[in-house]
Order: sequence, then C-alpha cells, then structure tokens
Amino acid sequence: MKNILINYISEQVSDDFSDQEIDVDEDLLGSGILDSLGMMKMIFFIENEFNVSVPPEDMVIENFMTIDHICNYLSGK
Amino acid sequence: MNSKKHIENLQLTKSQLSIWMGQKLNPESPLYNMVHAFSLYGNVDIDVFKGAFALLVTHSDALRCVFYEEKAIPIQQIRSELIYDLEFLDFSSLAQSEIQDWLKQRSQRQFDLSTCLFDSIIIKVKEGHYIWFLNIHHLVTDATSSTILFGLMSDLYKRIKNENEDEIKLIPQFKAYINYEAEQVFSKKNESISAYWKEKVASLKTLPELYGHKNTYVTTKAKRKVIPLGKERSEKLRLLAQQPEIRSWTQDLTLFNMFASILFVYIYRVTGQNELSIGAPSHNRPTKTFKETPGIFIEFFPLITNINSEDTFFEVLQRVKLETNNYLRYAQPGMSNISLNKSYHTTLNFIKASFSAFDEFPSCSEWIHTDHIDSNHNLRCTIYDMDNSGELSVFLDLNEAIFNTNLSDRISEHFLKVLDGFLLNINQSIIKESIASISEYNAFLTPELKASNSYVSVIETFENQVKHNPNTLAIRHKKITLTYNELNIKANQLANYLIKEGIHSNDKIALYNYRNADYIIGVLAVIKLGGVFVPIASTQPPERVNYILANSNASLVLADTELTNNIVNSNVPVIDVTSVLEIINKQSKDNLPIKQYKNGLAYILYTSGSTGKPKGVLISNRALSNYLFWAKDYYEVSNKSIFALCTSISFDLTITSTFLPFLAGGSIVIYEEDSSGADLAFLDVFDDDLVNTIKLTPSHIALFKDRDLVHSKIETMIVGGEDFKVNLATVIQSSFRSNLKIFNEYGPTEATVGCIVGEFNQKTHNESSVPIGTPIKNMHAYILDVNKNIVPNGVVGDLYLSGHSLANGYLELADLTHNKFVDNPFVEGFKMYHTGDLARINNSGEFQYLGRSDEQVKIGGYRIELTDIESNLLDFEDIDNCAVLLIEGNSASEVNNEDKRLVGFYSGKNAIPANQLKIQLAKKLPVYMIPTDFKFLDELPLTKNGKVDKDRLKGLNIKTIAIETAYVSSRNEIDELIEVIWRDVLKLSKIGIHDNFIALGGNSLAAIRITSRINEELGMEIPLNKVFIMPTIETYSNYLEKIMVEQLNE
Repeated sequence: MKNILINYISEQVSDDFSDQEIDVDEDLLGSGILDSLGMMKMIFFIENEFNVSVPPEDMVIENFMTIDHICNYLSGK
Repeated sequence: MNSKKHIENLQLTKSQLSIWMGQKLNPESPLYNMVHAFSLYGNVDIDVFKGAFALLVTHSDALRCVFYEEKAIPIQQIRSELIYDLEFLDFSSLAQSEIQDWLKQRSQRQFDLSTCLFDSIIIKVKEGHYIWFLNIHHLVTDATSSTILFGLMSDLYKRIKNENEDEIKLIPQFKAYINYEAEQVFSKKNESISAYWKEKVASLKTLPELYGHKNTYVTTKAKRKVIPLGKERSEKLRLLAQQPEIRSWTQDLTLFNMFASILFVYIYRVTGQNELSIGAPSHNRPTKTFKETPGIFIEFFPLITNINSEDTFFEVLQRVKLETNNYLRYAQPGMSNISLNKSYHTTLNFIKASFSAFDEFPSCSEWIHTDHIDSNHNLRCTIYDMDNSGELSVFLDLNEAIFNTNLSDRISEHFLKVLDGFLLNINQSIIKESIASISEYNAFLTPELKASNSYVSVIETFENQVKHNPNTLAIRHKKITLTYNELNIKANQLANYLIKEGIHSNDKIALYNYRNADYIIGVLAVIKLGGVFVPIASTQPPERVNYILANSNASLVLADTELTNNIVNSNVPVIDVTSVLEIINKQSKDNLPIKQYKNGLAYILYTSGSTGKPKGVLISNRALSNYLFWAKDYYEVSNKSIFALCTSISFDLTITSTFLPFLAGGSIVIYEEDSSGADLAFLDVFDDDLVNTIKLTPSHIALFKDRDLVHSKIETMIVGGEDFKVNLATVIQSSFRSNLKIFNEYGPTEATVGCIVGEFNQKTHNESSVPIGTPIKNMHAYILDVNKNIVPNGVVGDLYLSGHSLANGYLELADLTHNKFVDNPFVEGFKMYHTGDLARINNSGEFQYLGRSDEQVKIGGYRIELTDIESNLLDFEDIDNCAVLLIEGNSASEVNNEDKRLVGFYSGKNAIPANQLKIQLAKKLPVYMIPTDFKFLDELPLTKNGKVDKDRLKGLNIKTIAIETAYVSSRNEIDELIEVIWRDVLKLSKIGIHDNFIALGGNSLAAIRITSRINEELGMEIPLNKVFIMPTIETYSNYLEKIMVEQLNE
C-alpha cells in the first residue's frame, strides 16, 4: 500500500521527486509536495485503487497528513 | 521563416477554445488582456533588460504561440523564433497621473493573434524607479504564469548582468501541457468525471438575476470596484481560517472556501434565489513541472450549492467545503465544456501573487484592469493576496449590462456587510442583519413619519364648500341633480332622523345600496352623526350580506327598496329610506354640531377572508382624511373636476370618487349598476361624455381599449386594484387625447384606497408592468426580507406599509390583526402592515409590484382569497378535498386582463353537476368568486407535506371540461345565429340552448363581443347587460324575437 502511494505521488503529482524517496512520515501538504488539488486527486485515486470510499467527514488533515497516516486510516476501514 | 514547414499545428486546450470564442465574438474588445505594471525600484540597465527579455521569449514557448483559423477551426502554432524589440520609454518628465493614464490607455491594445500575443515595455519613471509593463493575451497566460515569467525575467536579468549566461537552465515547455490535456480529453478513465459534471449542472434551472436586473444587451464593458479589506479584516479572516472546524486542506483553500461562502450568501441576498452556482478556476498544474511552466492552465468549473434563509454562515461554509472538495476531485484538465460554462455568470478567483524582488531591486506590482470582461459574466469576484502584504483585496468586476453606476456605488457596501456578518459571528443567521446601504435605508425612511400631524376633517371641508358654493352642482344621477346645498340638507335631515331613531356616535350603519344619490346621502349622514358606515354593494350575495350585517354588529341598515327582501333572519333593523322620506324631510336642515374624532372609525369595508368568511377592515377618520387630502393635491382636484362614480361601493377603490370632488367644489356623475350581476355601467361613462376624471381597474380598461376616445372629455384616469400592464396603458394613452394623465395607484384596503402612486410615462416605463410609484404623504412603504430587513434596491421582497393611512385592524379578529399589523421596527410608535405583495425598487427609484407571496388573487380588481372559496366548497357534504386555482389563459395577448378564470378541483363521493355547485356557491359568494369550471378527481395530487399540489393541478388539461347541462339543439334561425356567435366568441365546438353563458366561461369581454356581433347582424341596439340577465341561448333568443316583433309592429 505504501509503495503504491509513493509511486502514485512520484509519478502523477510530483514528477520532480521521482529519483528521490518520499518519506512515509513526510508532511505532504506542509512540505508542498501536494496542494489541495493534488490531495483531492490522490483521494480520488485511493478510492478507485483500493475500492474504498472516503466520506466527507474523514477528509481531514489528521487522516491524510503523511503516507503513514493514510495507511493507518485505510487499514482502519 | 523558412522553417515554417516544420511547424506543428496544435489543438487549442478547452480554456483556450473558450477564450478564442469569446475574443472572436468581441473582436474589438481587450477583454482578455492580462496586464501588469511591475515597479522596479533601482536603476535598471536597459540593455541587460532587453537581452533578458529576448531570452525569456526564446525560453518560453507560450510567448511564441500564435493562432490561426483553418477551415473555421482554430489552431495554434509555436513559432521557433520570435524577434521582439523591447521598447524603452523615458517618462521621467511626466507626472505620475499622466503615466497612469498612459498605462491604462496602452493596456487596451489589440493583439494580432497570428503574430504576437504580448506587449512588453520598460519605462523610466524617475531615477531609481522603472516600470516593466507587460501585457499578455489570456490565450497564452494566467495568473500563475505571470508570477513564473516575472521570476524567470529576474533570473535572466541577473545572469546576463553577471555574465554567467551559460548556467541558464531550460524551463519546461507549455506544449507538454497542450499534449497532456488532449490525452485527458480522450481518456476512457475520465468518463466518470464527465458524467459527474453533466449531472452537477443538470439540476440548475435558472441563473439568478442580480438585483433583479436582466441582461438587456451584451457587452464586455465592466467597471472594477476595488474593496481593500485592510489589516483588521484580513487578520480576522486569517485567524478564523486557522480554527479546526473551519480549516480545510490548506490555508489558501480555507480562505477560498470562506470567500466562496460569503459570495454565495451575497448572491442569495441580492437575488433571493436558493440554488446558486459560481464559476471558479482550477489551476490545473497538478505536477511540479507544470507548476513551473508559463502558459494558460486554468480552467473554470462550477461550484453549486443551495442557500436558505434558515442557514447560518457556518452551515453554508460546511456545505461549500464539501462542494470544493468534490470540485477538486473532479476538476480534471480538459473536462470543462460550454454547458458547464453557461451554468454560472458569477466567478470567484483567489489569486495569491508574489512578485517579491527583481534581481536586487525591491519591486511591487499593479494589475491593470482593461475595464472589459467576458460578456457571459455578470460579476467577477477576485480575491487578491498581493505581494505577501498580508492585506487582502476584493476586486469586483461589474458587467455594465447589469450594473449601472448608481448600483455599482452601493455594491461594496452590500458585499462588506455580508463579509462583516461572517466575521462578527460565523454562527449567526445569514439574514440576521440588513445589507442595504445607508442611502438605500434612508430612502425608505424619508420623509420621516411623525405622530402628530394636523388632521383635517373631511365632513367639515365638505360643509365649508356648501357654505361657499351652495348652488354648485354636487351630484348628477340620471335625471336627478343635487346642488351642494341640497345634498347637504338631505344628509343633515337623514342624520337627524337617524339620531331620533336612537343612533349614536360610533354606531355602525350598513348602507346596502345600488350606486345612487341615496348612497351618497347615506354616507354623508352617517359621517355627520359620528357613525361608521359599512358599504354593501347590491351585487353581494344575500348570505354574505347577512353575514356582514351580523358580523359588523350594525345598529341599522339603510337599504334600497328592492334590496330589503334579501335581508333575512337578521336582528338588524332595516330602514328603506323611500318609505320614510316624509318624516326625514321634516327634520332640521342644519349641520350637526358633532365632531369627528380622528381616531374614530369612518367606515368598515369587507374583503375576502382566508377562512371562508369576509373580514371587516377598520378605517379611521384620520386614515380616510390622510388619503383624501393627499389625493386632492396630487390629482389637482378643483371645482372643475367631474368624477364618475361607476365602480362597486364594496370596493375601496371607489372611496376616491365618492368623496374627492366634494373637497374642492367638484361634482359626481353616478352610473348605477343593473340587477344582472355584471357591473358594466362604466361603459356608459364614455357614451355620455360628462366627466373629466375616472377611476377604474385595468380589467375595466381592457373592455374599452379598442374604442376611439380621442374626443373624450377625460383628462385624468386613475387606475388601481390590480397589476397594470404597460401594453394596456400604452394602448389607452393613444386611444384618448394625448394629454391624458394616467395614474397607477396601489393600495390594499388595509392602507386606505391608495398609498403608493405614480404617473404612467410611456417613455420611461418599458418593463411589462407600470411601476406603482412612490409612497404618498405620511406613508412609508418598505421592502423587506423574511427577517424584516430592508433589502437593497432592485431585490425582491415583501411589501410592508406604515403611516397615517393604515387601518386600525380587522373587526373582531384580534389574532389576524396582530399577525398582519406588526410593530414598525424602523419608526417607533407605528404599526406596519404586511401586504403579502412582492415588490422591488426599479432603476428610477419607483416601486414595482411583482405579484403575491400567498394565495390571494385578483380578478377584475377584486381581491380574492382562494381559501375563501375552498372553505365554501368544503361545506358541500359530498366534497372531501378541494383546491381552487386561478388559471391564466394563453390565447389572448397580455393586454387582455380578462383572460383569467377560477377553476375548482375537488374529490369526494361523486361528481356534482357544475350548475349545482355554482348555484349553491352563489348564495354565499359574489359572482366574481365563483369558479368558471369544476373538475372532479378521484384523488387530488398532494405535495410531500400533504398539501394539495397546486403546481401539478395547473398542469392538468382542463380544456376538455364537459358541459353538464343536457344538450338541446337550436330550435330556429335566431337560436342558430346566436349559437354560431357564442361558439365563435367562447371558442367552443358545441353549445346547447340551455347552457349558461357564465357557466360556459363567458365574461364581460365576451359579452361585449357577442352583443356587438348580434347588433351588427340584426341591425339592432341590444344593451350589453341582456346577456347576463338572459344567459341562455333560449332566453336570449326569445327576447330577440320579442323585440323584432315589436319593431315590425311599430
């Protein structure tokens, strides 16, 4: 799951980061890797990729701050 | 140039296509010029600057894009080379304002899209201050792109200056995005995204009309209104944006959501529409590379939400937050289309631009607006977070087709009031405070209402006229004429007689009369003795008459001989004046020494009530006096005024003609109604040509609009009672002599006859209805929202009335009085009447009437509560449920006010013959309240709330309503002739000789047409009212035969 997310971010969103590793505890929004558009696109990707739905009330920074946060959130579903 | 062969034709992106179309539609307009003036504080090396710019063009392919049209399809090409000689201008001898003007002028420059899409100049303002003027067509740039270009230019300048050009790195090319977008459009995985957007806009019905203004023409011209939010507001906004329950993914998104919420609430408050859509640009730079590419990426998608009066700002924000998240999820490059672009005419853009330093020079930027925007957009709202100053600005670009200068001056006040409400308490209702500007507020409240104004007695003024002009004609009715002195004596004698009969001040006396001299004498006598008159027209059905007598607690009823028989089971003594005339004539002729107190009642007038019973409106002497003395001045009533009394005495519109001439020495000509029930006496006014002033309703006017009345004596026409169409007013204006003055007078019975008035002006009144004008003396009219806030001019709201003309309330209906007459929140000590009418202020400051907010309808000027009819229908044992609707015909033109009819829908045990329903209803309701058609349904359609769904009923086909009288065909030639004419006029295929004219849908207009056709065919002069008296072919035919025989025998 982690790798899928890292790959997605590297390829789709931040093509410039492709050769460097994104840390699983890197603040995605805070570091500027993603902006709000990128975040919502990633959620859209997650929903399709893992066949889950992210309800509006779950769309908070606490669930999506880092790749770790996202994995925790998704495993709780 | 010889490399042309290698140049590739590229498609336009969706955004480019939309811009290209917009430019093609407005070829002369600089609407897509994106202009910046960057101030650079230092001494710029011009040669270095020129070199840097040449490199910028070489490195950035967006600047080398050019556009062609091939077989009507636009294509773009990227030129491999573009030599641009950047101009240097030394303006150091010019004043600051001259430079500003020059920049503004220069920003209007048109581009030849096939050669070069930018204009770049370096200007010396003074030593140490240069301006880089950069104007780029929106086809190849956007706001982010400007920031990128500025940064690149700074970098190139520095490198050339420092002579390390080798280290210039290549910047990403716009062409990559063009190709990326094209792939997206055709990608299968984006089908669900298209579907999402399609569904999103499918539910949108109509675009809201900002301030009630329609787009009357198309223009790209727009004024920019800049609202600097200042330090305090900006800080509050940022602070609020940090709160956990408000926060979105990023602070920028949070601020965007907050402004979107404010904009939605603002639009709701200046349109009243609930379902709203705003267009917002998606930056469309998903990858880091794209974030560094100059070019146009942004693409507009709609944000749609519902706003309700019950919402708080916080609730709106929560919905907007959800909506923008979905927006971000689905805003995919290339997914916009024309139908999405047409779903909004307001846009919101949040621009965070940072042009910090240029090489080592401090810099700042100015965005120059060209005063042109996309003609599809009515309002563009841009939130500008410029140069990290910490202070936000709101730029409102106002399309001139919607916003006139007058309005654009007030708009910032409205917008800021919404914003301040949001900042003050995000949990407060969005409609807690008014957003009207101070000038709008004051316009409603001036001149001030004052409690103590001088009261002038109507009767004393009349008696004064008697003293000065005793022998002047006061009343003419057929062959009867009365001078002021004669009229006064008769009124005094009747008053004295009534006092002897035990009548006191404040007693109520019903006047159940035809329109005749006795009615006028009765009115004056009752006022003279300090009593309260209750007028009841002859056309009122007996049950209603008896109800009014009982309900009003009348001490006495003065009735015409023929009408006395209608009064049954009543404890109220009845006096037929003619039977006691001898005694009356013996009474004192002198004026009575009784004073009329201003707060005492003058009359009680009954109007349709929603409970099935009419309600009595209590009008004080003060209210009557306020109206009449205002009207005397306004209509310039003099001793030369001759009024026609030709409308129902049960109608408060008639009060004008009843009293007004007597205050100035003028006279009244009375036109009595016949017993047929169809009151068409006013038509005789034009044949007689005795009067110069007439008051009537638009429905009346529609009945004589086609006549040539150029030579008529009428100089003043006062129109009231219902919506007055401009078409009709225009036709009438030309039927009469050119100096005819037409006044439109508005006023419910509860505010005494008329309280808002205006003169019709053919030149300025070009909407569908004649405006109702402005409030009369000592009266205020307010247009309020559901929270009783004054609305900004142009916005539709509920009309409330306050001031000296207001009724004291309803007789014995304390609850209803309490609900309708509320405390005036603007002027202490006054009540305010809720009319239930909708209104707005037009561009000229006039009130415009826009219909009802409830179940009241008007036919022929008569005010009818549909629930009044429904309650009476429910009295039938076999009827379980019912609904009455006013159906407006579509065949006739707008001029025809008569083309409306009431239709009763009901369910119950079984269908009841329409005739039977009509006969029963006629006992309780006046003719104009009896439905023309009835429709029996097994079940009435219901709304979610369990109420009858009137919208669905309106959609039912009621044209095929069966004629329920047994069909009997014509007996002879006369029957046939009449039948042919009736069929023609009533548009029916078959009519039996026993079918009733009224039941067939016949009205006054139809009667006029039928009568004139018959008279034409037979060379006769049959009076109009006969068709009402003999309403079947059989009876009418028998009558015609009789007349023909008589004529032969002569």
